[in-house]
Amino acid sequence: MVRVGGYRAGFLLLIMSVLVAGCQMEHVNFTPEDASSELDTSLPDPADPNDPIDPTDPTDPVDPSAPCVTLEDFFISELWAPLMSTKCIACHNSQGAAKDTKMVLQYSAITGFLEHNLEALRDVASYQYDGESILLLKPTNQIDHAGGEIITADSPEYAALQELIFRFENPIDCVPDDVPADAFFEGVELAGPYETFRQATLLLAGRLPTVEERSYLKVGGFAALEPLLDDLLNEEGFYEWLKEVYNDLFLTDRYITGNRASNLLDGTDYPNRRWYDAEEPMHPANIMTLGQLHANRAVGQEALELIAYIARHDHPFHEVVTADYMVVNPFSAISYGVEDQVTFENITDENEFHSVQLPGIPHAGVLTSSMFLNRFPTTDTNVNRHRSRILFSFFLATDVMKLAQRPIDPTSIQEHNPTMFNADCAVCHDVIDPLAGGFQNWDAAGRYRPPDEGWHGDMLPPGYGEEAMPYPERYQSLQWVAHRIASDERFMTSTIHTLFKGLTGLTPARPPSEEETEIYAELMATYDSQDELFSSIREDFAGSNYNIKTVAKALIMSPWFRAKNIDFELDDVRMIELKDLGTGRLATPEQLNRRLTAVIGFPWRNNRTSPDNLVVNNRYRIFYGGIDSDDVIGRITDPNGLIVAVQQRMAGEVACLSVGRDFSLLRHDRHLFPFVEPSYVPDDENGFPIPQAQLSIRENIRHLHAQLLGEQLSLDDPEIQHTYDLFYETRKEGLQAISDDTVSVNVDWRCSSTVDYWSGQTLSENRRISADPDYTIRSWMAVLSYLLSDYRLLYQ
Amino acid sequence: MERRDFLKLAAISGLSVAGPLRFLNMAHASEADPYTGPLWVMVHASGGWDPTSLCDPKGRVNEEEEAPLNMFFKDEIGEIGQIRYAPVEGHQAFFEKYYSQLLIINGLDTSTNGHDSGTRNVWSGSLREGHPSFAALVAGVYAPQKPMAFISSGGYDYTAGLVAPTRVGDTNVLAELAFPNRIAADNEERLFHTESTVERIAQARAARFERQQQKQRLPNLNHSMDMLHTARVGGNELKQLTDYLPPLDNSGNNLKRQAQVAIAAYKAGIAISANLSIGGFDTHGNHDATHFPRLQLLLEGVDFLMEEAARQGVADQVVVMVSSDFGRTPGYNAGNGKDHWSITSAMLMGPGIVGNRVLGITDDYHAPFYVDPNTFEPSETGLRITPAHVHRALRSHAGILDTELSQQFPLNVEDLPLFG
Repeated sequence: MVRVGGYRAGFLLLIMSVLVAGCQMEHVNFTPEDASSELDTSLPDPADPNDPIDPTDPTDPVDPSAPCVTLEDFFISELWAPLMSTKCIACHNSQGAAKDTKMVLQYSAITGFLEHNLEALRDVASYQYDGESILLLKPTNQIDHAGGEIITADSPEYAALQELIFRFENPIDCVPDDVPADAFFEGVELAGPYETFRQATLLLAGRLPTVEERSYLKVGGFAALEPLLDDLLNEEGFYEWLKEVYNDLFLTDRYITGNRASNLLDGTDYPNRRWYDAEEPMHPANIMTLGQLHANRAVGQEALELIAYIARHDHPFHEVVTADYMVVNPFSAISYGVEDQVTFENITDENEFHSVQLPGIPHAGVLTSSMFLNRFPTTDTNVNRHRSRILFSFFLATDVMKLAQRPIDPTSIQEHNPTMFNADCAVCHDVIDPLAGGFQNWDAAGRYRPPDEGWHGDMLPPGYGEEAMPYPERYQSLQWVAHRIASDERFMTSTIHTLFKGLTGLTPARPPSEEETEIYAELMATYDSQDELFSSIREDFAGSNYNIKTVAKALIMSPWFRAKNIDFELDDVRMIELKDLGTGRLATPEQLNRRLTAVIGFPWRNNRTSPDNLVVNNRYRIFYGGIDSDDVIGRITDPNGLIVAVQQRMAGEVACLSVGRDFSLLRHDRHLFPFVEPSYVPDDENGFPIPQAQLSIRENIRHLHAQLLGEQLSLDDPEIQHTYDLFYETRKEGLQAISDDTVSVNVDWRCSSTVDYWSGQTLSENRRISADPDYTIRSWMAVLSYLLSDYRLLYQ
Repeated sequence: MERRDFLKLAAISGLSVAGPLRFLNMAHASEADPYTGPLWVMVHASGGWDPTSLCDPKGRVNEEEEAPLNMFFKDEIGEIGQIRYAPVEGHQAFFEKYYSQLLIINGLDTSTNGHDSGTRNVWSGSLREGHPSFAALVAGVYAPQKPMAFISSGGYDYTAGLVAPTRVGDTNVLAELAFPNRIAADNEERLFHTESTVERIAQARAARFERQQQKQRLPNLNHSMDMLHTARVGGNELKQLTDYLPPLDNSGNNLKRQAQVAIAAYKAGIAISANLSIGGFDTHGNHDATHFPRLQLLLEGVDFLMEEAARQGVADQVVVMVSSDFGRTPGYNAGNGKDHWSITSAMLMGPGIVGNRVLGITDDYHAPFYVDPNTFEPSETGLRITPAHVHRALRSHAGILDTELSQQFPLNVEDLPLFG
């Protein structure tokens, strides 16, 4: 659909001309009901051929290229922003003075507020007094309106209300364009198929595209991208990435070390929770030895593993909350005492997960996971409200706390039980309390313990929105809630939001708030663009039986993942509209770690058996802005001095470790230097150029730009020359230093390569790299450091 | 649209304006105009502390009093100078030591019971999203290019893109980061690259950066490149930190470690502000038994901060503000806990802040009186002191109130003479 410009000036003019020109109208029978009325001063004058807003006047000028404006866009731009979000909603909200009227509006913080508010208005508009809709009569105080006169009959807002009523009576159906939201992305340069795929493979699978994939894309272009993404999303890397994304929400990785997860299981319910500590071993020695590590990890990550399991088996993703099972590996199966329920192919494989049902537990996906419930605990007075808030946030795309951004004054509360009866309190509690009741059977320790005396009578009863939970459902309350979440459109939206953030690093756009009226149109244009995309993805998601891979693929194909530049200088308006476009995200430590391993061929570690420097807490993970899911739960997304220091160390150390190692490999096995040998020097001893060597060096530089940065450059590209200059000047200085005896002819032992990295076997003499008489090893190190600290490698 | 208006609107929309503004800031913090202090330290008691158990005590008359706010008695309440404090272990020593420097603001109205919104309001002055924390703002104005300009150990650290927050991990590897070109951090002889090669790489990188940025027009990507460039400007200063960082405290009170890093970074000339944070205050159950020890740790941490500042010779250059998400309900719930209450307190001290004063008054139910904006005496025509007032005073005190950056995030409240 053509984007609505969002520019308010002349908007009505545009709307009406569009009604004639650009839209498929179901009914075009608008006639001003009373043109002589003093209320109708803003109405079109059929006698005036120059009146551009008369849809019945065939002489009116019509712009055939004018965009079609949807009801939603019209409402947001002309009514919600200037009038309803600031004036009407002050009383017409669920707790306001007009809460008992037919017009109860929702705040923009509630996902789905737009649809709800339009329906409320449609209903009110259908009521008439003396042939006039009360939607016009009330705010002008022509009939009794407790709020008095809010607008006058000659105001633009009144005209907009008239137009809204007309639209309710005469629905329009804007014809979708071939390219959705085309105008919004006008001039935006998008990554091509290979570039898009490379970005996806590095992010999701921690690898580079294979030669075959690259060829396939070269021949097939975008048509080849989709099937390749399908394959990519079936790789284990995608499931790992998915767990990482959801752990940023769940934070259950807090429990994966030591016995932290196992200890959270109730000893009575699960007497074998720490079976591996038994004095008399109940399993073979190898199982007992691995027990703590793998059982605790599987229990700690049970919610995340459930998500991976659902994705891996292409189950409907709403099983995240509705699954009537959980997943265990061979080790956690023992902890839960369900090892007899399942047969493992390999009882020592900690990554083999199967579904099981715990006796007596009414499973509801992650919601009934002990780890999830412990991570989001409750208290006697919180009574699961925190859990309810989390559920809204994670699975219903709703930040309930945004409702608390309005000032409240608890010190003036006079009501008994204010969470139910005080408007300031109830604005949030009416939303979260019914869902809190859904958790009624789960205690603070995450155990299934239905309350003896039922749920609290001084709260709203358990339910889902307006729907109360039937009493017989009380023992399966979370299952009852979960099935409603699964059929709620907001569940799909929240899933899309989560993956959108995971893929792009961007927070999904929200409708502009009441304070942003000055740039409402610009922010709304951004929101519209995303909403259109997400709406389309929701359809595909539902059509694929809620396969999460459908969402991931659609987002990767979207401009929000692929935008990389724009071909003109932005004015201020476009600057705000496009402020978030493009994935300019500092790679997380986990992402950078995978990326390094992929492009270099080795992980960045102190030695072969030590953990990767970027992913362990006692090395650089926290310095680099990562989280430990415990004390540190929010990622740093902008680089600071310490992050830059980690980058510098990485660039120096990885270059040191990699150059020698790569040269030790046979050429066809090399990641970095397939076109040169250490003996390839640009000049001979007399300073005369060696053209073939220079060409090989340039070829290899071109390869490094492609390998590390994804840049496809020609040999005569200036960037190749700049990098070549760095190599050349470094070598020149180094040779002089060797000649002056101020540096050694050998590289530092740390940068030498004398053993095979993976096997630890000593290398044969001819493959060892220690001596560097031509200073090429160290010159290539300089080149590698330069590229490893480049923006394009460090940013996603 | 006027450029000034655009910047304001851009800030509202969350657009971090790169380029000219950034370089304007950096020019402000150039060598000719180095930042000379103070260090701004914001200490956050996470979860919502109970002012009535700290600096706004109520107490109860006797054991028969129904629904008391506190279990301690009124005649147990301590007093030193103008300051009254709850009879909780550790309080007396703290207040007797610092009362002459302390400004207490009671009856601070956060207008919310939500953790996120309360924390945001207390540390930015705005209930709504979008305003940076004061610590980020002051660092963003003065020296965003410093490698640890804004150190965050929690609390509210939204920066609005003005400065990158810094988080310190395991300090055992800090030397490796302070000397990234050394193969072994303690050996200055063994280097990955010669010094001249390091310089050559840096020059090549900077030149490439300029070429790349000139081509880039998407604001999000331009901002990312700009932030990376800004962070790199001060990268070499990090090594100075190792000269001042002492062996870190092992007492288990994380505030102490945070304080050591903040003071050392300031002493090294690479920090402007720091968020310190300690949790455990959200005591919905068994309040006194669990809340009081946290208050004790909090005050010990603040004391340690001041002692460390003195040890490093910068005690007169540290401005401290201590506060929390909000307060706790007047009275105990069925589980002997206390729930959320929108009224809280703040404690401040440092150069330019007149101590031994208590501003703002609450009644026996811990509800604030309206006060005269000049005398702070109760006045029916007065106002409630809000975090916005405190932040307006902080900005003024820091000399940033009228800066362009500050005005992008306006605080539309009265100027109150809070700091004396």
